[in-house]
Amino acid sequence: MVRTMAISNELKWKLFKGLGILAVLLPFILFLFVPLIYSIWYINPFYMYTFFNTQYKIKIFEFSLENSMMQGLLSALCSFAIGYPVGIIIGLYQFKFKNVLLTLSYIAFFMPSILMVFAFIEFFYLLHFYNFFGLYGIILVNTAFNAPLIAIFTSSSTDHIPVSLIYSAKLLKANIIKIFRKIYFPYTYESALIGFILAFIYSFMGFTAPLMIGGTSNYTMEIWIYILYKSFFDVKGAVTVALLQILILIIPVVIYFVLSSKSMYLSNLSRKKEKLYSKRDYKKSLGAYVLVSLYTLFISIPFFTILYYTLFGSGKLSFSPFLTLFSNITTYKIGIPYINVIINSLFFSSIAMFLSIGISLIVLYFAEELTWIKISIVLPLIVSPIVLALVNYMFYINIFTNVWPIIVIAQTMVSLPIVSRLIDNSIKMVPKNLEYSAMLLHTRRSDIFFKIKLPIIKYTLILSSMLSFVMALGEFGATFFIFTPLFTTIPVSIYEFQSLRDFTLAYSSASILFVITFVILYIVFSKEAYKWQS
Amino acid sequence: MAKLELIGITKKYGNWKVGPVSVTLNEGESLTILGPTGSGKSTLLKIIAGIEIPDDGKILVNGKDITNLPISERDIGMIFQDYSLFPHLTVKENIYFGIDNLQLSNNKKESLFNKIIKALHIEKLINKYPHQLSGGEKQRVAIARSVVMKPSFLLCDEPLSSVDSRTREELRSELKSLQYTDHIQMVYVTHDHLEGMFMGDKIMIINDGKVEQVSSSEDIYIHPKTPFVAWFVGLNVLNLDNKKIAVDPLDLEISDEGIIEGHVISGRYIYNTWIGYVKVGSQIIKLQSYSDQSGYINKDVKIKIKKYIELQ
Repeated sequence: MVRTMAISNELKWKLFKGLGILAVLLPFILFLFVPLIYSIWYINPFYMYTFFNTQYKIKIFEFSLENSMMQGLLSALCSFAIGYPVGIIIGLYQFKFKNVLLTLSYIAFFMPSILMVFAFIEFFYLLHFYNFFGLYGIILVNTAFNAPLIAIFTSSSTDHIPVSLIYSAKLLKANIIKIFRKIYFPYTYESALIGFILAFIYSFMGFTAPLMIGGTSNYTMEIWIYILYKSFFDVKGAVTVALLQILILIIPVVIYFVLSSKSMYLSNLSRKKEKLYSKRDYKKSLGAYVLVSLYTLFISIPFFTILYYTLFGSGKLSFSPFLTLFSNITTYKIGIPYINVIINSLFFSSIAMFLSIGISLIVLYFAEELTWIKISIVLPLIVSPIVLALVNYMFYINIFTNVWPIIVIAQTMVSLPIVSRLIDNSIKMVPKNLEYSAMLLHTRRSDIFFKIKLPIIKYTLILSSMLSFVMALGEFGATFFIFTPLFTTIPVSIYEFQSLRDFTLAYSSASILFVITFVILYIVFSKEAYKWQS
Repeated sequence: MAKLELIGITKKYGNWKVGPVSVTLNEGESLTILGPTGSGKSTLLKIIAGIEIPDDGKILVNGKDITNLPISERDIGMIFQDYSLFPHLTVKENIYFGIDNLQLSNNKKESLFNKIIKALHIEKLINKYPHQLSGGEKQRVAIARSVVMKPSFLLCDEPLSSVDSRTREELRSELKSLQYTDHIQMVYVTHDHLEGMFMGDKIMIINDGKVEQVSSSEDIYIHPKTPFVAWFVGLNVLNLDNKKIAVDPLDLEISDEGIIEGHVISGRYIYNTWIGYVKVGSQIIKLQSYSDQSGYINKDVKIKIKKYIELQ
């Protein structure tokens, strides 16, 4: 009797779980697989051969692949060269503004790309250095984005090194090189490598930086997909390059997935509250002092430049550009009042945030143990924002009367891989014994999830929601591909103003995006936020 | 009160396995599973709890097969070594977490709560969070949270190994008193043979996944079945005339009439007992005496066996 009841409960759960998994897969089927397959069907897979029949298209492909590879590798290498030692120092030393530095690093990584590019352009103009455009500029911007990512990952691993290991090594008379080789390196190389791969993927898929400062000779595959579709009206060419880009990115994404799944130290983006290896005065180490100072200066450039141009753009302190931004001039230039631009941005980002958090949670509830579902959720990482926009636009343009749902879909799919990995890794850290204890206290499966697991990871949930919001808010590539004037967002407006050579409006719009992003990220990553963590 | 039967329980992990384990715990009896680290005792506990499913064998409670019953449907409580308190809930909320799952009136729930916090002396802690408690306090709360559910069996997975020795003694006696007052039957896992013998009516000694002996605590000490059991409960295992024997350290004496020759390598007289270690060949044996024998340290001696148990 008991066994029959148990089997019937198990069957009910399996049925429920099956339906849940179906619900989880639905967004991927609808917004990734179906549009992708439709695009392939649309161009006819055999066309891929004919694409290479034209000499100029072969050239386009060769150039763009070479540029993507070059920018991906050089940016990842530069980011690693700066991020890894800085990460070790942040993890190793205790210094006064460490939390501020880490917060700045997070903000730099999650900063909207258009804002970063814009800030660097203005910074170099300010220094009267006009050779910033081209490959070096792209690498610089990509490094400003990705070095903080590698630094964060590395410092997080360094934080997890048991202090007893360091003390034991020192008591055994090991010198600093041996300690690094035998302790620091084995503990940190994995997360630094994950950061390196992500830096490569993001730079390979670069859109904003090569578009704004690269010039034609530095256009990546991502930009050529855009140009082929939007300027040459070559749908088949665009889809072919998009598919080839997906195929190329499969290998790094698989390596990223495997490494990040087994890495113990990237549980979440939170830091340990107590320092394991504290009270070392980093000022005594000149190298560390110089490196940290240079790094701080480097990642602060965008913030100070934008603040400077916003407040002193006209030569003296003035807020009048903001009044202009909200006047009819803007409506005349971009087609809608600026307040609508803000509303659009907030509205799309909010929906994208709820969708990505909701999908991540449903995945964890129904399919915590199913790796293949988790792989599906990381798949959008292979599919770049422009490709996501392209395939969804092609498929849904005939279904939706407006383009805004397609913008929301693309923004959701862009933030989903990062958000879901964050939540997944964080939930894995909840000790299994807590779950068993709750089960032994006759707690239902749903209560274990909602009353135990979610409250324990509440900080990561808040963090993930905010990050997802900020990523959607600053998303430029996909939105730029899809938008119509009625659905202009803040990042798109910055580009539009810049294209119209109206830099005052561009600065003002950039500063609004900067303020919103900075305030959210600062609240999330500042020290106070840790009070939320149990 | 319930009867627990494990029949031929086996669990494989690659080339290593636990079992087959068969043991019956009659109504009112408690069992201690004793063994070194990695011997499979916690695995056995997890199988009883339902956290692990055995590859073979059955678990019966009062004759009912619960082998495949989900964890939450078993009438079993468990105390973990790491306490496993919900970190985001106060002590009160932790204890109520289980009570709320019982079909009882609010008054009844409150009375259960008040009774258990009084029994475990945690009245002043109820509004605190786990991170504000000491190890001993945490374990009291964990015990309260499990015991309040009045489970048929309380499984204890080395619950006192993370607390200091004084608190360990206190908690041990309080857990034992719960066996008498609340008639809670326990399956207690430990590697400390003295603690194990104190807690269980029956002792199961397990080594490398295999059951070495199951009997009463007294019987295990007087009639160890294997050299491992004798060694694990603190007896010296020696070879005498091609026979394996077990000798209590108190039954060995330094004397010229002794038949074993050895060298005293260390010793200490603490309060009223001398504990010494003698190297015999490659083996080190332990001696105990009520008189101070420190003068023999670093000297060759002869050891007399006053009494011994012949092993199979």
